[in-house]
Amino acid sequence: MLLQIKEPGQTQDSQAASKGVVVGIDLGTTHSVVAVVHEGKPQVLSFDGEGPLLPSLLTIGDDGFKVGVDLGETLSSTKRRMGQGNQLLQIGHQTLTPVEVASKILAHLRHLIEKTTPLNAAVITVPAYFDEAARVATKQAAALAGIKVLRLINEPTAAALAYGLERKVEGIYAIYDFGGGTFDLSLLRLEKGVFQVLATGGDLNLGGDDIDQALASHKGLTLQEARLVKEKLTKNEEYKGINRSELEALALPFIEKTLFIVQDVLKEAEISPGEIQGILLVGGMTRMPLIRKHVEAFFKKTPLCDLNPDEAVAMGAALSAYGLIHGSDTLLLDVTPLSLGLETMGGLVEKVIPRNTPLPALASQDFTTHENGQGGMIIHVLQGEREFVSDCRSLARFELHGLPPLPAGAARIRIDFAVDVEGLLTVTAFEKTTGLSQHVEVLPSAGLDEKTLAHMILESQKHGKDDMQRRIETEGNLQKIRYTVC
Amino acid sequence: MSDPFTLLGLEKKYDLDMELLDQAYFDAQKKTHPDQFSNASPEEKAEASKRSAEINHAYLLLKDPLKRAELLLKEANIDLFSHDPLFLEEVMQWRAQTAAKEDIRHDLLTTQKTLFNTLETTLKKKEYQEAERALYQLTYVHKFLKEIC
Ligand SMILES: Nc1ncnc2c1ncn2[C@@H]1O[C@H](COP(=O)(O)OP(=O)(O)OP(=O)(O)O)[C@@H](O)[C@H]1O
Ligand SMILES: [Mg+2]
Repeated sequence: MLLQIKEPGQTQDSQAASKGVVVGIDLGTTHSVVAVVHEGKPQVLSFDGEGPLLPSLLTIGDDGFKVGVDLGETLSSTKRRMGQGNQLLQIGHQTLTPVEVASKILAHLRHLIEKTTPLNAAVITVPAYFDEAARVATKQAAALAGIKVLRLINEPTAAALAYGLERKVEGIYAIYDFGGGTFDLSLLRLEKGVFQVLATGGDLNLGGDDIDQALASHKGLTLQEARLVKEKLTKNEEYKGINRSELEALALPFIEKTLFIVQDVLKEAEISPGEIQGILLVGGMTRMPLIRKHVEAFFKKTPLCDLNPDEAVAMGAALSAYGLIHGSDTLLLDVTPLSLGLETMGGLVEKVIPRNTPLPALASQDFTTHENGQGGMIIHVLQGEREFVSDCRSLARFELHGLPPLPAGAARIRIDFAVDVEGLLTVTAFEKTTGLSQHVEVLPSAGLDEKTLAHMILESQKHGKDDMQRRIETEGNLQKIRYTVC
Repeated sequence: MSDPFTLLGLEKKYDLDMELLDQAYFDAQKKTHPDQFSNASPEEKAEASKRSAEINHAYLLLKDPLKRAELLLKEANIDLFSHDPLFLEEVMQWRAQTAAKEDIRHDLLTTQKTLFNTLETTLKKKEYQEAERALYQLTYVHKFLKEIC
């Protein structure tokens, strides 16, 4: 009934639009890019000579933090650490969490945008392979920066949207996204009005940074020098006495790693390379001739080159943001990149929602007690593909209290998993044997509201390191548990 | 929750046209996907999310040839409890062959194809016991093929 009140796609756009501009933000490891939809077309933004590619750098000078420039001491590539819990990054005499670094970058973007127009809301992109914790961390960073997030979307999906809406193409496309920090591969079926992700895979620790590192240690260069040499060798055969072939020998193992992932995703989707209609190259690394060569050899097809690899993701995010506010005829159907499960006997993981399940997803699993009169039960939620708990990412662990005293095996406990369109999970448990049912929720995203976050930031500025450490622990426990007995 | 066929407005049969299934799925999602409700109230959004998840689930069941058969058998009140010691011996045989590095993929693929044909024709003729047996065997073939491919 509820669903019939309003026609889908028909939204109150005059009201929404009056509150300011909606943008798409590609919050990259190396660069961040902002785009908007202007007169129906996506376009990237430049700000007084800054951009469209804004370095994702945080530096510290005499008058505090600065974003996008290098004043000597800098934090870079911190995106890789998003959602990894209690990590502290040192800059000057300050320590920051990856979430805070991201929030400062986002706040800078917001400031640039708001020099001309108030910002209403944004779609922010994340690597398709980002896990739950990294997604939650990204939303926290946006909240700290005072940016309303319409939705997170996956980077390769955004790039496909930018390409597909423009060209009106149909068929199965592979999006090969090799950036500064991460690698993603997504297979999408594009149809009129529908972008359906068939499967996705990736590596959050595979990017241009790794090639820079290899070159730097091989040649005794700094990372910045190595990166410059690497980029120059795209056009030149030789730069500063280093040959392209030397770089290529060092880069090859990383490229092969990406191709293993491609193979894996194709297998998972039961699609052969020949069925791929087109390959979209996204991310600065795909400018490297050796990468193009290997991708072409793998698919036996020349990748499409009429897409700007740096800007496509932000443009897709802008299209998505615009569609969410003003209504859209295009539907994005994405999947969960990693399996979600529960710990069972013997430290094994039982999958409840397998990877590549279309979102939103709901699934439940029934459990029982193993001892007479057992009053409680540990519920351990995990993410990952491996069989053992120790090899998967622990998302939350909580105890279900107050089970009715029943013989072993008589209690009936149902655990529900719900994953929303952004890939965020909620877990609920019900004890359904007796009339009394207990309801426990793991609230990953709603765990902290903006006010609490603002308060946290204030506190951290007032207090020293100890406090910081404590706060980080809380951040790690973000997946708050709410008990309600009904 | 209504059954997957009804949910997607499809005829209850085994030999579903996959194109038709995709279209029905897309049409259903266009009406319910949470992105279409981004300006709606939290209640509407939650409701849309739940319905959209049910449609996703129905789609996955119908797309999978084994699960689709299972749905139809359940619908016909057939228990899925077949046990076939002779067939299990065959499975053991495959294991031994694979362990001895024999390539039995081709044979298994042929078996799989025959079994799918049996499944389709028996379901059509409502010969459910036969269909159930074919499904039972297919489950093993499918699992085994996944392991060795
Ligand atoms: N011309 C070029 N030749 C080779 N590599 C390049 C070139 N231009 C940029 N790169 C590399 O591309 C990487 C940055 O790509 P990009 O800006 O797409 O990453 P990002 O979006 O910030 O990162 P991610 O998507 O992983 O979060 C860097 O490693 C950079 O050195
Ligand atoms: Mg990128």
